[in-house]
Amino acid sequence: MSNTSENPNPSSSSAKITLKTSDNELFEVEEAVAMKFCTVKQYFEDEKDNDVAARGSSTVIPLPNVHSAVLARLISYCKKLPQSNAVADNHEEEETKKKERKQYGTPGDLVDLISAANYLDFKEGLEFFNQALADHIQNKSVEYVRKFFGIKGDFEPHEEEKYREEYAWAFEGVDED
Amino acid sequence: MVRHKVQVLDLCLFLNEESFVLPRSLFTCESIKVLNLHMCYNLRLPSSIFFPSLKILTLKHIVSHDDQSTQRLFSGCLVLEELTLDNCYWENINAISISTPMLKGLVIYDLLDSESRYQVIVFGMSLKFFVYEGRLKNDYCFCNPSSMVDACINVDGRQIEVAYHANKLIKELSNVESLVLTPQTVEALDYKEEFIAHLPKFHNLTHLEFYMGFVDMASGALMKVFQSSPCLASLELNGGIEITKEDWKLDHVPPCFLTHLKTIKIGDFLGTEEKVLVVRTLLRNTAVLERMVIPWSKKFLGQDQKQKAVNDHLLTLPKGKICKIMDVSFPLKSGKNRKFRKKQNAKKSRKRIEDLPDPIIQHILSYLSTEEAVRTSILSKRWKYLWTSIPKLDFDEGELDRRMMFMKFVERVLALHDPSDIKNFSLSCNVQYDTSRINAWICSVVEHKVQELDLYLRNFQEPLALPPCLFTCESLEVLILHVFHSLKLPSSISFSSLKFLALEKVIFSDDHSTQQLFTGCPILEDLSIIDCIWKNVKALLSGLGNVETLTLNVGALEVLSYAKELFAHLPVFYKLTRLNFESAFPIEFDREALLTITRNSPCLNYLSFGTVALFELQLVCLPTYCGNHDGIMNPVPSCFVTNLKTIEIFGFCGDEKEMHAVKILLGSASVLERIVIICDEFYFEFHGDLKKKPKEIFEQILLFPRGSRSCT
Repeated sequence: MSNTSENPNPSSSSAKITLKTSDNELFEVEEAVAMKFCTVKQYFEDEKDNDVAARGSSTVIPLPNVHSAVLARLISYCKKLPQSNAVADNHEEEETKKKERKQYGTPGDLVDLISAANYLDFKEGLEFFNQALADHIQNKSVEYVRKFFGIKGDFEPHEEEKYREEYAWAFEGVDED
Repeated sequence: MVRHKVQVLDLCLFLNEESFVLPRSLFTCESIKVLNLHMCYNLRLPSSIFFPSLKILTLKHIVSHDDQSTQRLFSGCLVLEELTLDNCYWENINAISISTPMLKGLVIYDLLDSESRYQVIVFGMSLKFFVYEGRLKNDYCFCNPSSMVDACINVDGRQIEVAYHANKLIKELSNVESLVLTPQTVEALDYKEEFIAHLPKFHNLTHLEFYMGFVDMASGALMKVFQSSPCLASLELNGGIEITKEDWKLDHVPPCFLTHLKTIKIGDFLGTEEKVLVVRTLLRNTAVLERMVIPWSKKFLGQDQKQKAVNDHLLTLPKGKICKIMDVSFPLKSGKNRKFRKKQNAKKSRKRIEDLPDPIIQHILSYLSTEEAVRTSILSKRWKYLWTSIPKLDFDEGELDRRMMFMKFVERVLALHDPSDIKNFSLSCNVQYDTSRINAWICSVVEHKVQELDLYLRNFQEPLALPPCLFTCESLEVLILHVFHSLKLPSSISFSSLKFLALEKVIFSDDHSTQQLFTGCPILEDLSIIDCIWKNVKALLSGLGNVETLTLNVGALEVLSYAKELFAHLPVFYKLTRLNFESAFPIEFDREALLTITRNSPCLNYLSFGTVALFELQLVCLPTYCGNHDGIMNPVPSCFVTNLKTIEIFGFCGDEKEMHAVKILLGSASVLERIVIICDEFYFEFHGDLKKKPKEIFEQILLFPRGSRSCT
């Protein structure tokens, strides 16, 4: 509705691909970035096969499951990608990575990013954001995780008590924050 | 950046320079979608401003002196949807007109003590939400207030001027569905009787919320709002309640209490008499109330009895049939934060972790430790078995004496794990009398096609024989055995995928099977043998032609040295490129074994001598060179002439023998590029000449003749 003025101007550069999000935003991204999203890649290649005449990036690839705000963040993550993907080999590096992961916001933001990355079949992003979300669960009590992630505990109290006993080892020494 | 089609731009500038001007091209940038400007200085705007794509604009601490340019800025944003003005300073400005047709959200923080007065006119035809926090010294006009759905107002100020503006503002907001106010705002509305009479009717209001501080239930303005909101269904008094008038009672029951009000929430509840009175009155006068939620105040913590008494009392109050009183015992986050989160939720279709598919959650769990992953099983029924596919299991008994609990846990986790592979398994525990249980675990992970196995077993009370299935495991790529026990090997050993093998403190007692172990690893690339004990072992390392990295400690070298006749059987390490020697004692570089290995490694390019016991002062490790007094290596290993580029020596003390060894190494390594010598600080500290000695050594070493250039 708001996007008539936002013409992507597709002929300007052949290495650009236009993506259309669920809220009808148009994003023009470099082909190298777009190809990281396997879903886009697949679509792009199919499109090429179907229509040999339509060369370059004249088509708009719709992404009905991705919101513009989420896509913008995924793209900005993509651009920083190269240095952030090697496996950390020492503690210090792991800490900086953790900090980097923390920048991607609240669990809610991360869930959005994860489901978008999943839909786009964007492997590195999925790994990164999944790990970032895992950081939020680390060292937290069950009650905290439930509250933080809006999970409704649906066990009967005696059931829960039983499981807590069975896995007693796992429930020792947990921070209650 | 503008040239690179930036879409999100966040500028936070703290300037001293008066003359700073943002580049012109920024203000005509076509690609920009989100712009955050945070500057404590005068914003100078060019004559032409045009942001065709800008959706979200935030201005923070901006100072603007000029009526016209400000106007241009807002009218240049054609598709702007969200605007935040955070404590901006407008001087010499009579009116700010925000005329952006697509504007959906407007957020204004206005806490600066500014003398200037101006009028803000908002021409947003589709404005949905409005947030205001500040002193409300200025006048706000909305040309199409009927579009507004959500509003949040926090007014701070008690002057008549403020009261007037507040009253006017609230009139503009008469179409909202959800309204969030603070008690101060109510006070401002309450300022004068005649103002109260002018409060509008809120036809659409369904949700009314208060935060920050006690709401005065006796306030006339509040009652008027209740009376004028016929559809109100949910009322939240998060900051708590109070009554300033004695003998307060609900005179005219607002219509919504009888027809629509279903949920009431009261925060910061302390159970005093006046508060109970309010609750009782509300309960008595609400006909369709379904839920009354009273979260416990933080102040109750630790006063369980008192809390229970209040709770019981509340439950005895007369109430309608369907009403439930609920209490939640954790303190609430501030209402303001929740409000903003809600706003964000409305903006995007926010997903929750529960919406993610199982494989994703399982992936997330794989980043947690085993204990943490298992803990998620009691989050809810859906999570009960999600953890059972995690590919990495690590168990560490630790020092604490909770053995029963630990053993039970490992057993249960392995039993419940689904049939998928367990790629990594690491176990660190005391063995005591449980060899059969531990062996059963190992068999179980072998069945799950384990790829990396790390066993650290200690405190044996009975002999251990690792299960034969381990030694024919085809999937195993990494094996770390840290087992202070005699290693009983089965007759058949075949690690067809094993690339990395580390043996620490293992006792080898049989020659034949030891040889078999090494011949059973045809593609081994990396071998570490540390602090192992060799009994009756004559041959070693045969069949290891493929290793690329080899770490040996002196024990292994001794075995080789004692059986000189076996040198002939040492393989040529065609692929060996890194060789580390470790020891707590001086490494004698002229050891025949050491030299033979070096000679048999034609491709070696890295050689290090290190120590594993740096913390023990006397046991300094050093490569020494005792024999061969003429100082010639004869013959020089071929790799010294062709490939050896780096030598590292740790725990160097600089005595005569060591210096001699370094001299010889330097003299014979002709393609050497780097020699790194790390001095043993403890040794020098111990001898009290930390500063002087290393420097001397350094100078001395530089004087040695060398085969190629080097650095220290």
